[in-house]
Amino acid sequence: MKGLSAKSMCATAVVSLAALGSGTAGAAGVEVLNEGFGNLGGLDGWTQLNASTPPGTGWFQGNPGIFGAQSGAADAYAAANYLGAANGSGSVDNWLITPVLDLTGTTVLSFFTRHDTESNFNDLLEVRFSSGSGSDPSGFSTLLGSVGRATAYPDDWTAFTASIGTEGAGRFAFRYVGQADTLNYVGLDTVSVVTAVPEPAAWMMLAMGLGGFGLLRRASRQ
Amino acid sequence: MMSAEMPSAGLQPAESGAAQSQPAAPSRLQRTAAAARTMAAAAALACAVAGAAGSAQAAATIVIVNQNATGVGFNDPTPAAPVGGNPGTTLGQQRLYAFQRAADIWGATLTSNVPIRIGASFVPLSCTATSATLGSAGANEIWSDFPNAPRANTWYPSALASKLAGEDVATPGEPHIVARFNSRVGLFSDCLPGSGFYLGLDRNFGTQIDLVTVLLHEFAHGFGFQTFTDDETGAEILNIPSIWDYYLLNNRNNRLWVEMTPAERAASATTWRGLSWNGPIVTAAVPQVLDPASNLAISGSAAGSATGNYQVGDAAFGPPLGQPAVSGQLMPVVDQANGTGLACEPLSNLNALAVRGNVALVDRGTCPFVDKARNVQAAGAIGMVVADNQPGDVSDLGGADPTIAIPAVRITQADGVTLKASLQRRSRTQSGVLASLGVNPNRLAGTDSAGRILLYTPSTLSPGSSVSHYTTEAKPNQLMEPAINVDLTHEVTPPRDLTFPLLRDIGW
Repeated sequence: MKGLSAKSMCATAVVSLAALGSGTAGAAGVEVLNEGFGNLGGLDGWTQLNASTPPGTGWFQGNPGIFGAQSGAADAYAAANYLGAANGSGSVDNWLITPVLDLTGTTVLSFFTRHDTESNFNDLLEVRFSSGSGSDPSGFSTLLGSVGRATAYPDDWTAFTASIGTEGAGRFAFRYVGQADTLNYVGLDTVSVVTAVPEPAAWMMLAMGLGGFGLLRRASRQ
Repeated sequence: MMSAEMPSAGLQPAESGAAQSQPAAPSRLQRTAAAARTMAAAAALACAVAGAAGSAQAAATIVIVNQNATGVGFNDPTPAAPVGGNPGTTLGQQRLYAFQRAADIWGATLTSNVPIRIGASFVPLSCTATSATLGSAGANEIWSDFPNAPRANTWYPSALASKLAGEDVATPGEPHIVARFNSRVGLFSDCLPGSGFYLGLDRNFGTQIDLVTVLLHEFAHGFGFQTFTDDETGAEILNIPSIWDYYLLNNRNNRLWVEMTPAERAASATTWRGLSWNGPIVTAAVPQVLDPASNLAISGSAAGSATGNYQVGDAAFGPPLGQPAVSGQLMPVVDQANGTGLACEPLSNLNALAVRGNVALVDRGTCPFVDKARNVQAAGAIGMVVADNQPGDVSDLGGADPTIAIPAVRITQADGVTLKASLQRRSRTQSGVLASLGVNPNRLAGTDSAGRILLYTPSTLSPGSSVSHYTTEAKPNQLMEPAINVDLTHEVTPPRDLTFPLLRDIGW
């Protein structure tokens, strides 16, 4: 469970990242973001930033020939691959950053992700938070959690949630990162942010998430 | 009656992939338009030497006139062991035997009452370590308005003019055809070292270049498989068209070379796939000789704007494309810092993972095509697409390796860029871009939409080669393509070859 442990660079935030066995959280609150990536090129307010060396392909429209979207049209998801560093050589550091969101109190980020099923690669997706409206990577010092690396990256679409307590403007970031030769291909879909969530519900959801992830890990060993 | 001295058409071996540089320009003989010659004496000569040989069905006597000086060329005294049915014991003798074999084949095919004299020599021609002009040949003189000329005011090559006239029209002492062959091929480090002429008569040429095949090709130029009109300027010699030009059709606007201005002809000579042979005998034979055109079809959910059919060059090695097509996801090899993939060495684990069970996309350059095919095949690829590394039209993949069991094709550099762009969304093992190596059942290889065979008209003029050869896209490869391919036989007639039908179209 160490991959799940809540980490916070921000003393005031309560953060966690958990995989859920089922889809929707069903928590009460205000949904301030719901993105299905039907058209990655037409995203409103999102920011792409490829800090790879040397930079190659950014996040791109999902490739339905590799796997289909979690929901919507087959290509309706965001994807990143090892070519984030040009020609797949070097170091990938590829950011997809949500619009600036107005957040109040407990806020829950949920999303689905999976990777291509070829073993022997160590895809890694970090989920980060920055208060304010900036998109500079240095501002995203709050690591909400990671998918992959220490734990197996899911082979099928799997829901994850992270919660944070914050007030005011903020942005979430998805960071696909690692040495290019250790990476393959990941997809990201159905990103939702719900804010002003009543406290007890958030903790309950976190508990559910922990249970779900435990099952996932057991399954992946077989 | 008029005549002129003639340019030659060059011939090169098929490219096997190692060369980064452009092939050397083929040599050209003088292109001077000589003053009109009379032929009073020529007729007398014809009577003196005319004689029949071979079968009654088709026969012409072909005489080799040795133009080499003592000790060189045909007279080279270097001892040689008999090879492949060639009993000569010196290099010079073996060259002569090979000439005689080619002369016998054409002699049994053509018909003429006038013996055809070929002035032949082995001389140094242009070459480099990786390419060479193997030979060049053409009519020595051309004639118009000779007795019984089928078309007035039209150039005919000397041998054909003599046949049609029923008497030798050549200037006394002049051969009908001049043919020169590269004396240095394979014998010097700067001239295709290691792949010299094979002098045997049995086509067991291995990695060498089959001399009899080269001779058959060059002789055909001399019989008339060439235009006498300047392929660079479109200018006719003395403003008289060649018999060839009555059959050259711009397939975009259905106009013949004889109907065009010089500028229009020059433009036509560099219009890729734009020029067809409109002779009825060739066109009738095309379905019997040519196979369906090879085709690379790109499809798949991630192909996007790269979806469609791509023109390909065929490989001289590996299985030919056919039905059913070989299909798989297209995956690139990347083994160079700039993102290209040469596949000149055994593939890395990552590249092997990418191509296993898939169609490998590699780049031309650095090593022979067969090396690339061998390496991707060893990694488990089911097919290979080679993207050119220079601009230009689609070309074939030369080379030979009987261990290669996967199909391979070559595409243009521009098409390679298009396909690579479609592969940027790939994973390590999948691209969602499906490549299908097959054939187009509705189009014969190397033909236009009306089923006529195309001439060789690369976008960049190849003087002496452009216009006076069949397209490189014919399948099976034809004798009169600009390069010699390893699958050629010694046949010059259907169902294997379209050389003789063309000579019949122009009057043989």
